[in-house]
Amino acid sequence: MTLGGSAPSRPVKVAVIGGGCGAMAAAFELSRPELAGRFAVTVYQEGWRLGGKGASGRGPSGRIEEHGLHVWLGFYDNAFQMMRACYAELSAGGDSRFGHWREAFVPETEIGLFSPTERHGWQRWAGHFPPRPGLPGDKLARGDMLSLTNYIGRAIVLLRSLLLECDVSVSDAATVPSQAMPKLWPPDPDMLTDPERLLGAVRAMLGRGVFSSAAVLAEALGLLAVAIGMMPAPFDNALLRLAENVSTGLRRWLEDNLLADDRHRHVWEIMDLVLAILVGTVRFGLLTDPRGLDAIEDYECRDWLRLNGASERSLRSPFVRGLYDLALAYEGGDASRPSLAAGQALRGALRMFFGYRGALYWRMRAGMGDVVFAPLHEVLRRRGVRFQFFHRLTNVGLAPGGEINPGDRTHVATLAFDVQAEIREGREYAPLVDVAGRPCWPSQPDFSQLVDGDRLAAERRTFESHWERRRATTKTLRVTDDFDMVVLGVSVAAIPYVCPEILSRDARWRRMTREVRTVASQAFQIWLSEDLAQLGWQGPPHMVSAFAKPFDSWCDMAHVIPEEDWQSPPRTAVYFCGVLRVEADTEAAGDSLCPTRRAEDVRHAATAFLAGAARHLFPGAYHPDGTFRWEILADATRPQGAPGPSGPERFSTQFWRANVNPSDRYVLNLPGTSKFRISPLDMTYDNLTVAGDWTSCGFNEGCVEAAIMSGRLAAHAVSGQPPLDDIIGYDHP
Amino acid sequence: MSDPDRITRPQPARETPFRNSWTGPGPMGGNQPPPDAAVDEVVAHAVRIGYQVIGENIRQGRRAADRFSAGDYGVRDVPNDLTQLSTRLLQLTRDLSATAFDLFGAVLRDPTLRSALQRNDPPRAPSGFADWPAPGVPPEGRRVPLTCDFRGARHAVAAPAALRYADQPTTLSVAGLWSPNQSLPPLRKISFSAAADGYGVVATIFIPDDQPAGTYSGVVCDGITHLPLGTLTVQVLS
Repeated sequence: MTLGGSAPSRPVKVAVIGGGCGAMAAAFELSRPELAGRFAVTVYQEGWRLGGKGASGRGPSGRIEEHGLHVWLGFYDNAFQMMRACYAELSAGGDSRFGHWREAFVPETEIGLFSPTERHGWQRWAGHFPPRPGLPGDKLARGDMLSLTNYIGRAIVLLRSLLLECDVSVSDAATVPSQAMPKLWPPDPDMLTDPERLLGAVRAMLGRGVFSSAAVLAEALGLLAVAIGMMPAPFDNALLRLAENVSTGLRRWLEDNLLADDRHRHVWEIMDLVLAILVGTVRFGLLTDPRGLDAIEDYECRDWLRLNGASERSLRSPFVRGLYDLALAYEGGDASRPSLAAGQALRGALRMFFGYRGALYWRMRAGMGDVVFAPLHEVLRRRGVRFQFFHRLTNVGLAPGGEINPGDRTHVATLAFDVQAEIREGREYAPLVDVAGRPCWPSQPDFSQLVDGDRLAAERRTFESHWERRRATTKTLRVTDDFDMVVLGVSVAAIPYVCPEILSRDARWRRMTREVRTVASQAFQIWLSEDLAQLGWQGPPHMVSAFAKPFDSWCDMAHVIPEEDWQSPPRTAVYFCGVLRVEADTEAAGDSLCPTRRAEDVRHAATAFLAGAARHLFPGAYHPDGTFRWEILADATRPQGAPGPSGPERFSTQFWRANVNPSDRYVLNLPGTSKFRISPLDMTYDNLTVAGDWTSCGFNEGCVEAAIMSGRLAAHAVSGQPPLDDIIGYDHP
Repeated sequence: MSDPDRITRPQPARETPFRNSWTGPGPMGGNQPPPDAAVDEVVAHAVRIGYQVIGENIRQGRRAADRFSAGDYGVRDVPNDLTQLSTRLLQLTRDLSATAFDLFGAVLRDPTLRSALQRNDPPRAPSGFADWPAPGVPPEGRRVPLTCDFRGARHAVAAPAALRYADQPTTLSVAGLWSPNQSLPPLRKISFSAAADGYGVVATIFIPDDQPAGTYSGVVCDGITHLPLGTLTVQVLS
């Protein structure tokens, strides 16, 4: 019986495996009231909480403990759409504990980037991105377009305004003999039927060197924008020559007028990069290539920019490093091996800078678990979705058969689980706790709800650890009896451990798990008894990237303190994160000490970072002799006034973690690997779909938006809803 | 052995995204820049105008093609959608066969763009630019002036326009005038007649009372060969 044909006489039983963004988006779509209960959804999740890489918990004093540093970018339309609907549904149902979504997400317009100076210091660059109309998740007006021409139009506008804002001492007019001015307007009537002639005139203008003038360059950029708008005509080569000539002239002008001026150095770098993108877009025919930006997906991003004229200086600029830091794009966690597929890098950058609505990025009021997964859990429960915590998938059993070749069809026959713990009296596990009046996820399970809970607690069961293999029992679900459809929402690095049978029979899946790589990450959080200004930070508190490795990105999180439950609240909290160098994608399954060893590595790295590089951020946090003032770390683990550790040992009262579990590892998009991803729409398994930021979901980058797009695609694969046109950014160059 | 009770997924219409740059919907917005918009905004708007014409056509055709391939076409939908599809494909052909400079002309005749270009950022222009004539002047050559006669209670103005001479005697057609903001309804009641002085063409355009204010444009075509002869752009005032 095929869904979409005659309707089944009973609800379709859907097993959603995993509790991350992709899996929750699929559950959210399939349980929508509009579907009138057509799907009976059960979520199977290892451990005690939802969230995947976005999980957070509450520790001592109700402090928020995250996997890493999470912000939502202003183009996360699918993600915001889901959360806005979630908050609205809770509010309409009379649940006021979560408030309005605008209270849960805080718009931010400032970012900071750092670049090393020749004197071993760091220079800071602060960027302000003005608010733009609309809010992320607003419905798009019909006909609004996410097209490269739009982006390029925006990029040219940016170039033009940067150019016109440059205040240089060289007189433009003096360098341009008026008799050299070509007559471009009105055009010869023949030009209107022969674009080559107009472009030829522009080239002639370039050839006379008049593009040494900023104002003329600005006009040329305007012409270029219009010319790109005319791309349907078969004169790509002429357009390419125009773009290259404009960029050559512009680069020369920039170098003459800006490069020696340190104040303008970053302006030069931005313009140089935008020019490279502009030329590359035309040179590689991206405006008309049916593959869109995927046409350059085999190139490494910096190589592609270099091919199109970007200078080495720009490629080492904080903007490029910030892009890589944001995507944790370092193979093996090795800072000397940055790698990012050019097509997706460009897609991400264009959407981030030219596609945001409301604000460039949004911080969450509290932990991502509290702001995203707690309300989702509540809404889904009200809709009748069931949650089976402490269920770890161990195998996806297939219908009998041999090797699965491209074009073959088969189906899932069984799902095998380790049940990590059973719930007392067969009840449903209640996962949330109340902190400051809001439902939150705890950092530890509630052992009192578990059968033999005292024993499990005494044995220090670590249910989320990949290396924790102790279990209470096993369970096998069978197709038709227990489930009809499966949404596999675990992360890609976990697939070898949860789908051994699929990997043994399906070469495409084997290739995907080999080629779609992941990276371990590390994070630490400190709570401070002094605020940023007292610590010597000047300027707005904002998100900062491109700083010293290994903790290249950090964010001031003072705004979450009121959500915590301190007896004596600290003045601020700062979260740091970065990649963690681990050569193998996963460490040996039997190495049960691995998580402890890696966590200890992070602790050492964090204390060294605070003792060293962090002085460039917070000079006020150091004694005159240059040592870090460890006493400013607020201790949540002891009652107020109780003595705690001093010196570097005081760091043990803070929070840190190594994200080395396969399901915690961040998904990379290395050059040439997108083609190995499998789409949620793939039909090889006629009752299975996949969800997560590792799938081929249209935006192949590790992030919340990709995961939620993928979850929506998975729901479409099962139910036909939502329509593909409603998944914003899926159809995108 | 097949299980009659086992439920399978529906076949999706497609398994990959459309990556063609012209066809994606998105948040860049098709809204017309305000009348006093900076020339930068207007240039970006100009780029959008040309692409929205083509992008919408491709998108319409694609939706219909999707529905065919998905096999969920309602029988009653077919004649109507087929008509729409063929109309759209025809229009696409027209647009693609138009020279780039028809689009160039369209954007330059856009009133907002024109007025912004005429401002031309005078404080920053070098002296050589002061002698340049204002852009947006209709080209010389074998052109027929096109004037507009508006019907209805609403006020509207037309951008100066001229049509290319058709090679043979013919009729004129225009499928409609669309706003860059395609959530707005198009103007569809348009007819053509010869000007009373015997030189030029008059387009009679009916503007409904509830038509939203904004700029609307469309391609005027040779009714026999379907080749584009020029672009008609009007602004409905609020």
